Amino acid sequence: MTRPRIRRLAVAFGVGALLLTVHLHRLMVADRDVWLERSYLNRWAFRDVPTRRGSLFDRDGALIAEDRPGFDLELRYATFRRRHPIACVLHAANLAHAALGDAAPRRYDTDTDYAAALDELLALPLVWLGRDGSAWRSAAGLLRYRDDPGDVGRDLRFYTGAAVAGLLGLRHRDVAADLAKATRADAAAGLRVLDAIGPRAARQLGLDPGDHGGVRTALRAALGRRVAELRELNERLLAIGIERDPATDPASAPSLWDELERRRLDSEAWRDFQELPDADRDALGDHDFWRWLARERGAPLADLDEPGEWLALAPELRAELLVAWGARRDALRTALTAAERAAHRALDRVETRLAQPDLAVSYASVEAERRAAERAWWELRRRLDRGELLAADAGERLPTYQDEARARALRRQLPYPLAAWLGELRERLPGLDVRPTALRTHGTLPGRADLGSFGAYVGRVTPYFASDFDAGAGAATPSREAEDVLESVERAGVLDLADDSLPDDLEESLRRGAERTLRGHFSVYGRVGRSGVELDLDDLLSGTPGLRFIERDRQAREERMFAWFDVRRGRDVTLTVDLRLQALADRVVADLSGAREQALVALDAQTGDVLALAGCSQDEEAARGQQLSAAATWVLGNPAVGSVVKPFVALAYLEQLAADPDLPGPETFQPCQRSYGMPSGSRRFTCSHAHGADSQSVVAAVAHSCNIFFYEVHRVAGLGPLHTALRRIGWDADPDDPDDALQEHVPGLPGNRLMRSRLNPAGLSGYVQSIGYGVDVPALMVARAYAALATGELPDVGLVADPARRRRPLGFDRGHLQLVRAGLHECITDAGGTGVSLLGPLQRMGLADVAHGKSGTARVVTRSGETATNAWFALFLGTDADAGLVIVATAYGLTDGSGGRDAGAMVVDFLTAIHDSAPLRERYLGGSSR
Amino acid sequence: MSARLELLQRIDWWVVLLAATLGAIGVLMVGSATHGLQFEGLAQKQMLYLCAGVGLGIAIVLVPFSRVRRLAWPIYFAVVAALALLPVFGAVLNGARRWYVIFGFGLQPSEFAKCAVVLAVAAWLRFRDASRLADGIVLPLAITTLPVLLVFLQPDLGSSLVFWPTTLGMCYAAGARVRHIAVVVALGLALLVLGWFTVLHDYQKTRVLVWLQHFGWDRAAVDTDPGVREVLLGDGFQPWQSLIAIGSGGWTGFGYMQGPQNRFEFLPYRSGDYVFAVVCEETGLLGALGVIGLELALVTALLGIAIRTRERFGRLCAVGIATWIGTQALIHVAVCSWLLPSTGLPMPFISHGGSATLAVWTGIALVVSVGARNEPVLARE
Repeated sequence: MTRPRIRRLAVAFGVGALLLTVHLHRLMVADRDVWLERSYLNRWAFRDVPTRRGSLFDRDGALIAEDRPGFDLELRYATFRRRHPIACVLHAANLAHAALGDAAPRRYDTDTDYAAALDELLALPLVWLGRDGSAWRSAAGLLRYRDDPGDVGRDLRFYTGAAVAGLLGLRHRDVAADLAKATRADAAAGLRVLDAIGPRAARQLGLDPGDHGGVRTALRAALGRRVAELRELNERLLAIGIERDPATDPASAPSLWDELERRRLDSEAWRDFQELPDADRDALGDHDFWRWLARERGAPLADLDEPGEWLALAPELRAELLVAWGARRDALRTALTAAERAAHRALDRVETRLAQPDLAVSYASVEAERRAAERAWWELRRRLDRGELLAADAGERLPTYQDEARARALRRQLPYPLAAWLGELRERLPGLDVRPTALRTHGTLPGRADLGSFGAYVGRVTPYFASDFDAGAGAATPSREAEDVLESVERAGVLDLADDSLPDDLEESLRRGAERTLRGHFSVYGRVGRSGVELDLDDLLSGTPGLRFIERDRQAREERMFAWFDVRRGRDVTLTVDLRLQALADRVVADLSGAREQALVALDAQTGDVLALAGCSQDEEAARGQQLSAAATWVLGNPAVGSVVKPFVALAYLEQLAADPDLPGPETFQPCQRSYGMPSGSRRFTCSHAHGADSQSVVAAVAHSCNIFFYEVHRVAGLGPLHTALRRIGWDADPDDPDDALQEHVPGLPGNRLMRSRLNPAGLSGYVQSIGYGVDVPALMVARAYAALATGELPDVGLVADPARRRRPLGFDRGHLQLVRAGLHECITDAGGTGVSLLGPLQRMGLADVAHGKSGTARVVTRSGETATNAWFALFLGTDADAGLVIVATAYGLTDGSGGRDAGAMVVDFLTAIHDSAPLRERYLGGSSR
Repeated sequence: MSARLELLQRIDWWVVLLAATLGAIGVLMVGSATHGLQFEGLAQKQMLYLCAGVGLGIAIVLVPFSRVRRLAWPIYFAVVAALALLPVFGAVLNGARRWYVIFGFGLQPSEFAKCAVVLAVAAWLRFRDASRLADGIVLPLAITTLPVLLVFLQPDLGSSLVFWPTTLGMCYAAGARVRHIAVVVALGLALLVLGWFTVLHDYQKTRVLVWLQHFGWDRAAVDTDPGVREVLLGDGFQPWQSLIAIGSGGWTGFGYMQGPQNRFEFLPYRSGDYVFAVVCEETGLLGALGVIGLELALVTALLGIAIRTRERFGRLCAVGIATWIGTQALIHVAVCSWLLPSTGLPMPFISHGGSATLAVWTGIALVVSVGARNEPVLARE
């Protein structure tokens, strides 16, 4: 009987072997492609090579903006609390104390005896760690455990397990399992935590299972080492300073322990906050609620700032407060909506008016109404945002609940040795992460702490957002890069390295791998320009990250590199701006008083290089600086140009006069008696002075800015000269010329919104249009036009140094141009000239002979609906080949201003400042001789 | 002709040849699995163990088998004592106390316990009527349970699992009723369920749960499901990497020392618990079949000796040794290809390990000795 059984055993082994063989055949032959692909994907990988964003420099190479690569130290408190033994010991001790309600919490920032806290933890009765909540009835006072006091035991188990595992290098789940098992056992009564974790800890330490004293000593020693690590980190951080937000925490000498303590309190508040019912959480998470509470409910509730205190209120009172708050909030929202609708209705009326130009209602009145409605809406929003509608003191500090899972910077731009040290200690400092970052730095303007208003043009740079990948923002989108890399890989013949039976799907998997790597790269290093030069030149500035296709081992060590895709560093860009001029321009616009907004532009007449762009708004003083948005249109001034358009109208009239012998000449024009009667006699227009025969001379009309001359031009020639002039100088599109002079995009400035000229002729008589009303042009484009007057050629302006910028002939007769230039010169030098106030200073600087200027004084409707002056002065030095600087200044919102006096003063101040600086005088004013 | 020469002539040289071939393959595969690593040199060590194992085997063959038979129980109790004293004198490695360190070499009593249990059970069954439940099943299992418990407490679940099929195979060969064995197997399964809730560690349960889960994974889940990917990088990492190594081998493999999973260290414990995955990856299905075939041939040869042996103790020893080696080899292959949950069990002759090598050569020597000696059959047998 035995022998057959032995044979059956042999057969059984044979069958077993056969079954395994069948299984192996399926794995190794039938499904081989799948496993082969996984094998390749295990070891073939892409590594990114970070690129660096290009920097911006001024025309002399002075730094304007750069991304300085570095490392930030971040603290993710949720991770620290749950994984660092010190945090676990502290939180566990605090939880036990708080639940029993018998002691003040242990803090990081006091001279905490962590060893004593550990002893307390190890001595906790095991039953306290059980699911039975009976030991924790008093824990109901803790908000988080209100519903289930037994969860105190769960959290204590967690902290204890994490602390012991972290200190002894055990697996947390094993220690937690020991604790759970021990607390379930009947024998748990009378036992302590140390009894439960002792055997495993002793085994790990090579001690006798019952040697709890040895375990305790070892745990203390391990904890001491962890404390020493944090102390060393604290000292090294103190040596360089810990970064804090002074707005929320003005402490002057914070330490790591202070920071940890602050985060501990935030964590407690956050977790309590999360326990609130939805309605309460919505309210308490809203700063407006706290403001309202402080004002409406007075002092007794003003000090209430914790979720626990809130829940301690009587339910009826809480409900009453929430209802009252809801009503107040709804009322505010209703008012805001009503204001918004009023603004929209006003806009509708403007559009209706524009569609019906024959209506008697003037454009200005509906525009004023629209602006008033819009202003009311914005004012309401502003007040709401500032909390002014809710509390008397909007500046008070309000409770905030910081999500403890969010990483928050502890220190930016760590010194490299410290970052490397922290990298080595990464496993021992959970929650303290070193992250590669880029710090945006700006050059410092001479005499200023920031880039001044030029910051608007430099623009903002932010990290890449996830949505950018899908939107394809930036120069390098992952999918495109992945394609390129795969091509590179194929070119390198990498795929031939694999054997002939390469899985079909491998290439697609590699493509996904490359894309994943790039996405990861962008999420860490990616920087995108959001406005200004940074946005417009993002393709150049952002560069392209490099990728390497490598074979690696399990420890991610590279074994060999198959192919690479070159990193392309972001290009440095040199701007045309001269930071020294910029500083002077900023000072000039900031010093002007009486205006609401003012701007100043300096341009190189020959090249169109923008040398300085400065703007200032009295309403938005705080907005000036690096955070300035490109939406700040006032940087280029109020665009209503007024009389600065007159020289161009005069040129166009002279051209038309030369072409049409029947056209009445200026000698036939009415003498200027200040008042001008239209031939129809329906309306009357005026001039600033009674210029007499000046209205019969082009030179005098330009020099004295005589309106009557231009009314007469319109009378004899219609709007033809105006339209011709606007098209020649690029203030209007020429429908017959696809290559017209219009410059809608200034390289370096994003889009054309700021640069676009606007013609608003509707509702305006042709007579007032001919003196510049209804023409809105930003200061930069005014400067461009005056550069054309100076040189006879219209340059394209630009912020980026580029020798290939377009120039086109202005197209007017040279004799006519000289005539108008003479008028511009007399504007300054003639006693009746509108810019004669500049003569003295210009003479002192030796510039009177070469200076040409034109004032403009436009009456415009202010945002408050009142009428105010928009003052202009445009000046250029020298003509033709000697032409140099073009300066345009504008000041808006003056109650009784004039271009010659107010804007002219800005020009003089600017020139004086240049003159006072020898290097600038040498460069821009042609030396002291001029 | 001297007795020793006669003994040599009667030795089943096929068994020796098969074992030596497997041992040589083992040295080669350990060499490949540890090439270029900090553990380089293990192949030389394995060669040393192999030589020591052969030497020990020769010594055992030269010892009269009757003396071995008389020493069966003392050996058993000595091994049990060695296991029992591990918590006191054993060295801790990877959180387990399985080894005595003697002159820098680790000695793992649980490997020798397999031999000792085979000897003890054979000694017990020698004069017993195996068809009786108590004598044929219960007491042999009791004899097995004592060392198994001690091994399990080390903890070493993998090794402890090999004892039961070995003992049951011996009982079956000795004539135990099949229904008794079936009942015992059923009870064993029930105890397994009970053990799930009482004695199994969490990590052991996790291995089983992940193993059960993996049968439900399709390719899309593996490629895209974050939960599955997390498991594959965590608790399922070892068997998954083993599957990749085996599956990518194809018919002929990547070549000796060329297996990427092996070379680039993705395969864990590749010189021990997953050495068969290295065999598959580098030698392909043909090489794997060769190794399985050699193991099967060896087991068959050992069972052939059992069939030819009339003396009951020697026959049961041969069956026990064959069952131990065969079962351990099959479980190892099944674990490597994730047909069974991952558990640390070396492949006989192939995996690195001094104790395992010495123990398995001890077993081979015992069977060779049994086959070479025509021991008299006593009446009670």
